[in-house]
Amino acid sequence: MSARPHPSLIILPVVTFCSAMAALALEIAIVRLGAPYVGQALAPWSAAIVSVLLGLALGHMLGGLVGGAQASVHRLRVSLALAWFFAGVAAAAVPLLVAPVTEALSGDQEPARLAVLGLSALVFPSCVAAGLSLPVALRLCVKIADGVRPGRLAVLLAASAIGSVAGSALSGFVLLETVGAVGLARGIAWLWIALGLVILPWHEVRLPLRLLALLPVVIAALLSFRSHVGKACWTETRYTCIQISDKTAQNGDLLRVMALDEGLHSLSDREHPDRLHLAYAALVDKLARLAFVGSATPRALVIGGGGATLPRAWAQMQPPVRSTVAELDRRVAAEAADMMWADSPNIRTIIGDGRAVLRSLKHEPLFDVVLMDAYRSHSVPAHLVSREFNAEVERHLTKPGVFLSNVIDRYASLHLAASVAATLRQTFPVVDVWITDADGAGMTNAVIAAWSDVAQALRPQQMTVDVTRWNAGETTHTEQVIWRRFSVDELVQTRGLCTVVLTDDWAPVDRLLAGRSVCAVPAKKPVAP
Amino acid sequence: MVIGILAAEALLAFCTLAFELAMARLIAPHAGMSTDTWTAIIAAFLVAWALGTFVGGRMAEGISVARVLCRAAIAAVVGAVLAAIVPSLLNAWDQMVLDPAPLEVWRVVLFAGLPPLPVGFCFGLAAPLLLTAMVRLTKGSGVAIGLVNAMGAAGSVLGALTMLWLLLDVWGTRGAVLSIAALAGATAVLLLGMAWRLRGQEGQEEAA
Repeated sequence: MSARPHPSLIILPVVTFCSAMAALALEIAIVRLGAPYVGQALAPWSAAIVSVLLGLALGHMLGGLVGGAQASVHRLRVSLALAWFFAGVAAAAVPLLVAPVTEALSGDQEPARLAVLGLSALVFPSCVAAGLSLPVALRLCVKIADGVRPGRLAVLLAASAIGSVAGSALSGFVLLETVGAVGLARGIAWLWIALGLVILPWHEVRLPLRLLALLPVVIAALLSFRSHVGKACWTETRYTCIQISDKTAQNGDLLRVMALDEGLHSLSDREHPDRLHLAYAALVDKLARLAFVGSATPRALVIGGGGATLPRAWAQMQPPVRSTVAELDRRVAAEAADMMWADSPNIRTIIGDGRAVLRSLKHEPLFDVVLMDAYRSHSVPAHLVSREFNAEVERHLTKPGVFLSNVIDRYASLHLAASVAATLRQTFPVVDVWITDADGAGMTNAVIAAWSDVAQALRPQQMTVDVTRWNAGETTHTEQVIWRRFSVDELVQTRGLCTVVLTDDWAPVDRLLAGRSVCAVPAKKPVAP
Repeated sequence: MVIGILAAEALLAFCTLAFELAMARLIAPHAGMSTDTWTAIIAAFLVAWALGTFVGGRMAEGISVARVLCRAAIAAVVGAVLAAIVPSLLNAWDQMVLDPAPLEVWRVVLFAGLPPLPVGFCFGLAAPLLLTAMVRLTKGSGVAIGLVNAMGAAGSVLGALTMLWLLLDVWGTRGAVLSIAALAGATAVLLLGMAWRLRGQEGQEEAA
């Protein structure tokens, strides 16, 4: 006669799987819920990972203690149900707390570290409760099977690991695009509450307690009642929260702004595609136009398309510039074409990482201009600033041609911009860094121009561009912004910086972006008398 | 002995998460950094880990605690060796899989997902072996089970943070991977030492 396993031994791996799935999905949800406020660079991801894993660790410890050393199966099941109820209710509250916590903790510093910590702490209570479930499930397994069966314990551990995979993959690939970050957090909350209802030993619990068990359902329903919370995304994708808003220029033109998470990325003018209202875009345009002159069939590669404002402007030139846009996010590319009016036969968009797109193209000089615009306010893709990547760009650039890089860095330090420029100097004969004082002391754009031919480079001491700005009352006005040019050596000397060459193996970009140097400024040797 | 097992659990969890993050940096120059590459790495690692824990559980059945620890040590040392050689294989792997069409999703997923599998599997093997050893040594103490899980999670946190904030910046990607391999190797030595000690004790108990 074959011994049938106890029903709980079948249920336990399933509920363990679901709980692990919910915990990992919550990690992704909190990063995305906070992204419109603090971005989703290294700091928010690290904080979320730490919060979730520390919560799970604490929960694991509590899970070993709960109910005492000789806890009965009944007591362990009730403990498990209570933990999941708590996790569910806490998760349901997270979307409502994101905006108030960010506003309360945001300071002048960039990025707002306190806000990042506060946001990640929101998922900590749920994760403590969820972490409690694995050891309790293991103990239940030992109790029910009446002894240690390593095979059964392994099934639970494996269910937990596979649940984590499913949680990350489902959230990243499917749920964020379909239900959004708020919907994801609420779905997780309901999943945990459902798990609590499943594991509760209903037939062994008195009627008043059974009714009490419905309380989490009521609380979660109340918390889920508000349909709109936090910043409203135009659309949410695998990578970003796209926000689109309209402004009216001083001359009455319709301007459309595309923001990706926390950062303004593009600003397009519906009536006049060639008018570039952002300071960096206007400067890039001036530098690029020189490289297009003289080319019968001018071509550009834009890495990080966003709203494709520059390719749209260049498509209006005579002869029109044919731009290849490498955009990681399919939905961003679609919104650029639909909402930012960048639907042109002269713009060809390839969906993929910039480096992968570059290596998929023919290995010959194809472009007069390569524009690198894939940086965010608080993150830099390390593989797109390395010496090896620059060499690949150089192989695809005509002579004369220019590689323009829009680096977002701290005005006060400029460590990242200086090292990106120094790295480019390893490959290109002339490298200039263009800086403006107009953005103040916080994050600023630095445009780096790497020319393949010294004789053809555009190198005035400064250039002035017209830009559109708006105040809190949303009234737009035009002002002039002055860009000043520095060679790498000038920048290093005037700012007292040291630079490093970034490689595929070693590119400490997050540290540089945080304003921390990774090398010592060489001391000046005293001149011998 | 209990502290040794907890330390081994934390160290191997440290190595696992740190190696996973290093893989993303190793893969990026070849296949870029996208949801496809991240998900392939995370999914491959966790699937390998799950498979490892399942097989590790089977390996722990019906043998002495000393042999359980010995098997965990072997898993750790094989994981260490594999972690050390993965970076040097990536160029050849790129030529085989990615080079013909670097943007095809299945190639990207295969390229990013396969290299972490053996390492994740080996480190996964050790987890149930260590848990079993702990349960047997403490006679099924709930606190001990909780502590093993907690040390695993704490090791993971430290592994992720140390890799992102320190190792990559100081030693570069390859240097960081080698340091992970060295740490896993040291964990194997620790486990072997404990197994050796337990073997002596178990022998004495049997003789008595």
